Amino acid sequence: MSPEELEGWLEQLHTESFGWALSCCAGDATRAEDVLQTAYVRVISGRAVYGERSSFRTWLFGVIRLVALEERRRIHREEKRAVWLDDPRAESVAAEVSPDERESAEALGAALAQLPERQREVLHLVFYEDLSISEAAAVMKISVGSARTHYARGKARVRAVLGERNCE
Amino acid sequence: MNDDVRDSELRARFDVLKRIDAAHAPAFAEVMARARSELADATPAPTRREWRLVARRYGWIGGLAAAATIVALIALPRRESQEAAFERAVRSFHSDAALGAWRSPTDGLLDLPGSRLIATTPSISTIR
Repeated sequence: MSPEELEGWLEQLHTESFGWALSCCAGDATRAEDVLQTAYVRVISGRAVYGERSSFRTWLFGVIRLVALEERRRIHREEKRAVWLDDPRAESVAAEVSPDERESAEALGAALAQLPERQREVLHLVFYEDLSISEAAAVMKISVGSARTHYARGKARVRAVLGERNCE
Repeated sequence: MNDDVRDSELRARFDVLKRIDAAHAPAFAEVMARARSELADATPAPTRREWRLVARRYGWIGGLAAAATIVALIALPRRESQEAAFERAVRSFHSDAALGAWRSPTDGLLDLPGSRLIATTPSISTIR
């Protein structure tokens, strides 16, 4: 793959990659940007080489996840995912998002924050990034069976938390 | 409520989250420019190809050093440990009969006047 092609792919997947980096960094936008930048450095420098064994997206998400894990180990910090609607950059979107939707997104963010990491990752990859469970398993470097278990448990837990919130 | 309906509800919530997150995404060009400048600032780490070239160019030095080490290990006499030397000396002493008859030249000095008297226990019948 030529450098131009590589850059074209990165650009095409940029928003999704940021969303994934955000999920890997527990919603910390600054860290997500750093992680994305480091991942891009690895890709364009050739330190991470696409072997065409999976789709480019699956491979790139794997690189982003690895970088985020390394970053997290370095920082040793636990943070919760937040939905930032007060950010001025989100104003244009906030205008398109109804109060109900906003509330629902906040509830989802809070529910995801309560999940174990693997469950949160698989739900994000399947529902947010539209990957199949086997693709998610490839990104997470786990077996498909294990990914399926995390997926089912995560989904049940999110529904339970959202159900509790609705009852309140 | 069936699973598909509940899945689509969950998906709808994720879609909203995705739209919100997308609004926060930094511009691709901006991130890429930072990545490029980071790459330019960093000391370039050797790539696999470069490592291979280095190995091909200087590999013979490593090979030569390894061969020299092996030759040295085989050719140089091994240094005997002190314990092994002592054990060997004891073994040779026991196996050599001539050594068993050997007496120290200073043994005679232990033969003091009256020492024979001290060494024997007198019996009552001999005391008068």
